[in-house]
Amino acid sequence: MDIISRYLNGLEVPKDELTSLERTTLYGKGQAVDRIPCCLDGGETMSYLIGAGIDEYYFSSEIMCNVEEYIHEKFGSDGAGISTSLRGMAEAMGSEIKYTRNNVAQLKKPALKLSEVDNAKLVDIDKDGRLPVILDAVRKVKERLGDKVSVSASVTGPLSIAAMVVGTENLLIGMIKKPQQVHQLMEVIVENNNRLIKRLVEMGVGIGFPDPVSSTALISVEQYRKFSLPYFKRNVDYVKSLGGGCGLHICGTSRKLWEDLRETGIGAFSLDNVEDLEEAKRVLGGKMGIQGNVPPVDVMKLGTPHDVLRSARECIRKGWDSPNGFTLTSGCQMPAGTPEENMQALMDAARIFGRYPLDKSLLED
Amino acid sequence: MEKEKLFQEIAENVVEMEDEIVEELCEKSLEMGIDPVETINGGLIPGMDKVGQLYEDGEYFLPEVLTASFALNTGIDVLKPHIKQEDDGGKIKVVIGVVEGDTHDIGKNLVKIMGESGGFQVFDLGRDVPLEEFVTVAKENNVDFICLSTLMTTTMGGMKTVIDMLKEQGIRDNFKVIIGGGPISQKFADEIGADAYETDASSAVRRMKAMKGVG
Ligand code: B12
Repeated sequence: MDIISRYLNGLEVPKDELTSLERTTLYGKGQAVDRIPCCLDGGETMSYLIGAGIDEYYFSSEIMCNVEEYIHEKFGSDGAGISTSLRGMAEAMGSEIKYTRNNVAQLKKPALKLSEVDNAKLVDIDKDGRLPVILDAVRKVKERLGDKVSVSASVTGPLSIAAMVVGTENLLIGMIKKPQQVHQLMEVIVENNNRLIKRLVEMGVGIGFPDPVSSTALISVEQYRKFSLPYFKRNVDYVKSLGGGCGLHICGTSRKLWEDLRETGIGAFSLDNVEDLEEAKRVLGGKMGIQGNVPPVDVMKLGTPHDVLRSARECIRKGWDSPNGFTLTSGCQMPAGTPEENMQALMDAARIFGRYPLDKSLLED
Repeated sequence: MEKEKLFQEIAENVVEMEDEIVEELCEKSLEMGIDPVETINGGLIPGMDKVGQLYEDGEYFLPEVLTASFALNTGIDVLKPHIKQEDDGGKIKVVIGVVEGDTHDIGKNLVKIMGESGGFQVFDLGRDVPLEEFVTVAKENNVDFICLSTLMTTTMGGMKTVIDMLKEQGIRDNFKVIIGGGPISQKFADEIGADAYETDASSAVRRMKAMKGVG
């Protein structure tokens, strides 16, 4: 019987020997560790794990923190994090958001039209929208888990915030019809992100930028270079000037942007499952860590634990020797209702196949 | 200017995303006494087809496609009030929408506009419509036709789900189901047991009238 069939069928999964924090710290310095790091990418969609609604999650720093504690304690995920969510900053800038129990929140009413960009608002991170709740959650997670696991917070990529401030379709049309107004809006968003970044770096947490709207499924490379990259760069530069570290995640296709990303100074790139890890290792691996990319829906939510193991093994086979390190995770946020056995299987895949010294024969089919 | 030349210019300006020029040209078509439906089919839609090609070739991205859609809609807004109003279809009631997961609504809007001009009473559910809603609204309003639109292969399955829901509730025969959109074909319609498939908005309206024996 092959090793995957033996999983949940008598196979002994090697135990972790380091705490998550020890592991990621040593691994980050290129030193020896017990296994490849593995993160469960969750956030609001994981609220069901502790019986809370997604809508409750957004408004309670306690629930947010409890979800992270649950995920860390139950599965041993190598990262704990609080997400500003794709709409958090836009909401602070005045967009109306619709919250429901079983779904991720949605944009209900944009804060402004591009023609009203003079009114784009500079935020007070201690007052506006849910930012205070989010900051409180980061503080709690850092307090309760900070000695065991590395803690991070997400700051949404500037272009994705713009989409939630004026509406995605309006933003995309604006790139063609009202480019000056789009640039003006991006300036305000960069400043707002920097305000949040400053506080987060002071709290000692890492920063992840999710930026789905920058995907080449939506915009061209030229549009990325004009409307997204320069502003993203300014946020990254600011993080670094404060001594912090950050990574980027783009959902969907992004391959054509990678050459540009090499020069941004980000510490890690997390790729969607539509892109290839081997290719990411080749193009980006020399400059940054790479993370990915088990399919979140088809495998994590709809697959069996054995499917998860197979998919994760392939990721490890492609990614393990990436020069600046590899972290096993899903290609995007896991959806609500992802079975806990599958999350366990993803972590166990790192323990079985990512165990050091690596047994390369285990990685082959 | 002759008609063909005008249509060609309209199409080109949809491709070039020049909403103001499209608007002017559509006004001009009215001045020239051209049937607005002909202008839609001969100028605006061929323009959008070209946009679709450029998108497939990777030359256009969503910002261009959306801006071109906006130009097309500007043209339709000019033409719509002038589409010949018929009232022979007055008794026909239709519910229409784009199935769940799909937000492409330009084609659906055309079917709606042509239907309204044909004298139908149209209940427009919009786009990305939860599948049960088609059934609920059809029942509530006792409509004749359920019109389902989708442009994506990934959401086509929703059409079958709607038909299955009608069957489960024992009301399949109370309504005629008409489907359309890019990936849809007669074969697909047969497979899922839809009553009719049509390739464009004008034929869709003609077909519905024929099925009800009016017009
Ligand atoms: C415009 C457009 C968009 C616009 C839509 C704007 C809007 N509000 O509708 C925008 C930019 C938003 C868009 C987004 C996306 N798009 Co798009 N888009 C197109 C495009 C270029 C043209 C569609 C169109 O409007 N045609 C003009 C109208 C008039 O034609 P029509 O809709 O077919 O309608 C006619 C007939 O079909 C018929 N008809 C229509 N409905 C009905 C209903 C009935 C009952 C009947 C009888 C007849 C009928 O009558 C109409 C005219 O007379 C097509 C490419 C193409 N060549 O079609 C891609 C296309 C449909 N898009 C595609 C994709 C993949 C996407 C995105 C997923 C891209 C992305 N990565 O985000 C998103 C989808 C988001 C979502 N979940 O819905 C793919 C679909 C592939 C697939 N899986 O099948 C296409 C085919 C392009 C491609 N080759 O990749 N898109």
